[in-house]
Amino acid sequence: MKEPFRRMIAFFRCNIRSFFKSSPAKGISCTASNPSGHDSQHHDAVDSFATEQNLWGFTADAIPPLPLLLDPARLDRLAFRRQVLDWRDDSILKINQCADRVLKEFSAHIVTMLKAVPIWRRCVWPKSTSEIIFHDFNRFVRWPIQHEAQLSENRIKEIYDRRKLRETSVRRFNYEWADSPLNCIEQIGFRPSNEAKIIVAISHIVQGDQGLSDNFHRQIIGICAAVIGDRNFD
Amino acid sequence: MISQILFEIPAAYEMAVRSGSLIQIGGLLKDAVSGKIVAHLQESGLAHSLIGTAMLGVTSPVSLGLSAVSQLANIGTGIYTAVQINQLKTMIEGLQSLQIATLGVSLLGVGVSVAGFLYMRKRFNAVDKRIDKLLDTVIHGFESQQKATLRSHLSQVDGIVQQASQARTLKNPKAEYSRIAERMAEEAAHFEGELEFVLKMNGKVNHELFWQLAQTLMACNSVRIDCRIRTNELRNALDVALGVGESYERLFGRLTPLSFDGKATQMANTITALKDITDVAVTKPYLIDYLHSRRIDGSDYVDQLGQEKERPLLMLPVA
Repeated sequence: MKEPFRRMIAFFRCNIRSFFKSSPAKGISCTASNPSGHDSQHHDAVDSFATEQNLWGFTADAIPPLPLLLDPARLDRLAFRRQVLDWRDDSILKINQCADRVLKEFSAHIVTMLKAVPIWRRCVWPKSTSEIIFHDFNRFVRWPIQHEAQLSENRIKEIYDRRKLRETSVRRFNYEWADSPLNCIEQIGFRPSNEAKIIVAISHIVQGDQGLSDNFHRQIIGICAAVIGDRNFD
Repeated sequence: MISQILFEIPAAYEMAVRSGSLIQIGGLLKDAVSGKIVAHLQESGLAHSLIGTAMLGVTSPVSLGLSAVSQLANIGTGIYTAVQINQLKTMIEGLQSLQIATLGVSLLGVGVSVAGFLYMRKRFNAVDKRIDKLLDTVIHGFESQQKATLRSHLSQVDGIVQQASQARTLKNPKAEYSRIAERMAEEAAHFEGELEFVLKMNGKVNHELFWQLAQTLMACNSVRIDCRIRTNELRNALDVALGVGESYERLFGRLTPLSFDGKATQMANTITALKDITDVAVTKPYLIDYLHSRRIDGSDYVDQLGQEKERPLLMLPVA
């Protein structure tokens, strides 16, 4: 009998309080300002009321709260999603920056190489650009970008490990190219008069649509979608 | 109804966040071990009066980096007193310590929005002017009919926000707030459609148009939820907030720093802001759920926050 009686008293007390304009109690580390702008006298009244409540052992909280409708466990999904999205954007940005940097360096290297082309090669039978730059392209462009992708792959693995998730094949990058990207410059003769053409073609290979950088960006977005299991990224 | 709402300051939680015992997700903090929600981050009316005016001149989050405080202080030179700059600094540092500094730029509801309709209207007007200019000059792909429709909807939104700002003087403002929430739902649906359209256009997304439309959508949603909370329809506000969170996840989650027409490094700021905005939108229903569960009156809650004069950011501890 005691508990229902306590609840009934608490209920009436709360209702009585609701006739007054709400105001925060004094002496609390931080409360929102009193909306009604009541003076300290009113605060004192509230204080004494609060004290009285404590003495009686009742507070407004005596009314049991309604059950929560949302499951806090869902927040884990949100936190994980954010981690993966941050990984995605960070990886895309880093690979993009890396591609920009190596492209700039490689373009300068090409210009130097073109200057060194012998006179007779400039006039007759210039060698194919793809043939000349093949090894340097791999060394100056392809490997640094793939290395950045590798670092990115390690970072998603860390997220998996931290979350103790089972390793899956979806987070693996495919480093192979279906066709040699340098095929498109096979027909361009490696001589100074073709400098602009060569630079543009290499820029496209590195940063263009379906280029080296874009290839990894697409894979990153794909991995992100697969890891999150979210169709919004299709 | 519980008339006494106790808040704490974010600084009280900073150490625990740094040590990792508390985890910040969107606008809330949860215990790392138990997984229980410990507190909800909540803006107060002061946040808007502090940086609201200055932020009207900022067209995108691109210009906001880690030095947000000094940038804001520079923007607001001549606007702020020394006390206000200190409050501003405290606020930005609070947001930074919780790793959501970019939210300063969106200012559209950390916790329950208390922006106030007058401020919202100013914001709409600023967005309206920029979109108008954009439509006249740089945007391709928009047919003239589509431009006219967009302009018409912007005007309607402006009118609705004006009605909202005048509703409090009505004898029965709750009925008006309900009507406004319904109309804002329609406008939000329209602007969501416009954003979808912009995102589906060929090539890179026009960053400025996207950001202005996104701001309009966020403001519409903010007013919708705000009105439902003012009428103490917390159960409905919860449903609306859930829908808004899902829609932001869907709309913004697909964007990367390379989706826009600007420099990738600068666009990364926009993407971070969009992720923060989404996280806060997705965690907002948890705050509303808590208010509902504790029988806190929505109107009282908004009023108390609107009149806070000392602290721009507060924490609502979960009992």
